[in-house]
Amino acid sequence: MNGLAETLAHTLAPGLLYPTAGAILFALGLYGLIRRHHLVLRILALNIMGSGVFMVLLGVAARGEGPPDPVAQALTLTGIVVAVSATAFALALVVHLTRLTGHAVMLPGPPDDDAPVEDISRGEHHADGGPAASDEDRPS
Amino acid sequence: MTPANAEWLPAAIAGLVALSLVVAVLATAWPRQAHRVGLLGALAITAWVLGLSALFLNAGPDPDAAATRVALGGWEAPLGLMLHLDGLSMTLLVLTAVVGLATSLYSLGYVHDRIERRQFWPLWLWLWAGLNMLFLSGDAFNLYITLEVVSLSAVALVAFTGTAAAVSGAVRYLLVNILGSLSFLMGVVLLFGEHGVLDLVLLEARTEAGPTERMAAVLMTAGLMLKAALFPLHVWLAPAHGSAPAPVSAVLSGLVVTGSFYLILRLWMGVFAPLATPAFGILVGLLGVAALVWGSLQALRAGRLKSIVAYSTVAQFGYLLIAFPLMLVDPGAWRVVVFFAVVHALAKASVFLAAGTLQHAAGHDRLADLGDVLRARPRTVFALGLAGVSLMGLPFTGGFIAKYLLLEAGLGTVLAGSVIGVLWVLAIAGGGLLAAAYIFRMVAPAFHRGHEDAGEAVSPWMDWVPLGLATVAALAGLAGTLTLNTLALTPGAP
Repeated sequence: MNGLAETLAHTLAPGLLYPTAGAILFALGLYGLIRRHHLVLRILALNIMGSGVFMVLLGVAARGEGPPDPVAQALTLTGIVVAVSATAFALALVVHLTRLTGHAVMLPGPPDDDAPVEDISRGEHHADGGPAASDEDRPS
Repeated sequence: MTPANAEWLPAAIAGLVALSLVVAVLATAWPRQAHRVGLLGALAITAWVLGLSALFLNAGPDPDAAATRVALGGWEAPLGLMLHLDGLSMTLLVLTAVVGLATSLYSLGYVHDRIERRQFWPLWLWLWAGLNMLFLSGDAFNLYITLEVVSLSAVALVAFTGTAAAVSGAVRYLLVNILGSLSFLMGVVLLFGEHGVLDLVLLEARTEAGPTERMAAVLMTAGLMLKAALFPLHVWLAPAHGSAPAPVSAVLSGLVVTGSFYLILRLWMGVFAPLATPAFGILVGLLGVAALVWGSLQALRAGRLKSIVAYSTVAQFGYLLIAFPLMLVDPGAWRVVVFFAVVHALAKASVFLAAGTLQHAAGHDRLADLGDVLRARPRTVFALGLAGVSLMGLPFTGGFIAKYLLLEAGLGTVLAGSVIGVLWVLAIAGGGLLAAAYIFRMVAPAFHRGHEDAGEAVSPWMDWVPLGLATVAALAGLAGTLTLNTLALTPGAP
């Protein structure tokens, strides 16, 4: 029992606990990303994966003697900023998709071979007054 | 080496990053004039890159010395961020400038709606700035940031037409890209934890074949393969590339995937070089053969012009995977691979631009009903064919030189006594045949007798730019020696 307690105490040291927990979070997030279909859940899963990466980074910074490595903390902060912007962008896309289709799930696979293709180069794309106005400054 | 040039070079490198960022910021802050800012910016960036390459070739480092490294703000590695210019980055910067300029000119004709112009130009300029930074960055974490800049602007470009199909394709592309970036970042974190540095040159000096490096190599390579749509992680590519607007498809298929591939190559030539084993090389090569066959068959089956082109990207990237086992036998083969990627990017971008013109004229890109337009637009069909010939690798085109060199490397493997080398040679030769089959499918209706109908009028930019870029792709063979010599200026590489 003493051996087990020692192993446990060793594992619980922040230098190992954080990376291990981070790896578990990373794997859980990946599982959620693959298994879930609702897009908000998928974005949450990606965020869980991201938290896993940051936990590994912070754990790595706390390893060894002395104060934690400030570079790793700066990297984590930068990473969080990137993750927040990517999440906001993804959520905006999902909201837009839900408005268009009524569901927060992706449309099935590759587009049909006969699916209509949106072509913004053609005038009739914006029926609400785009084409006539744009003719004047079209280079020729 | 003239001292004056050597002094100018670091300033020119930092200046390129600054210039591309300033152009992107200006276009974002001044959306009404975004297309004018964009055009001037595209010309300025292209001129700058060409000037930089002239400086680099004249004053560039001799192959044994360190590459040109710029410490931003005077902070040296390991704490500061280093910009890193060598032959490999220089080649890809020039490629980006050529394809970028062509795409910008084409977009003048293609994106003419006022609202859409305001959205397109800033996003495209951010994407270009991100690519320039990606090729110049010499720091693992900074590479992650540039990858994110590139992916987020690419996703927005896929989505910006705002239809359900486009937004759905963009969401798929975004999820794939974030997953790839996080996997890459996890690898970076592991390397940082093991060695305490992020600078690629310092990392390279410290890595050995340990378990942490293996884990990091797997995570980073898998993430980048996902982003580069390398087989078997390619399934997202065709919906995203096939349904995006034409200039966006051209940039995505020509440059963005090449950027991820560049990073894989750079990592495996530097940091992960001790980990490469023959068995690993053969595994990657087999994936490449599978990509070649699967992508070509899908391209032969697809009913839409742009789907064919998108699947052909999957197939052509198979060659880049096949090159890995060749590089293990003949380390110098990496230059051939990069040359192949350059020629592919030029040809693929022009095929996508030509397909966009045809789609604009006909109002759709269903191959079965395109015959009339194909017959009436010989210039665009010629561009399609010329770029296609380069993709197939017929003589006198850039593609021919690239494939010839690749075959030579493959035969070298066979001569070196590797039985599996026969498979690589067969795949390289057979892939050309498959490419010929699907390219003939695209242009064949033009040679049938029948009704002609030019369809909707097309702006001169959309008419001529694909032809110009296809000519550049075909003539790239003439620049083969120059490219290979430039690539030879990469220190540390064989």
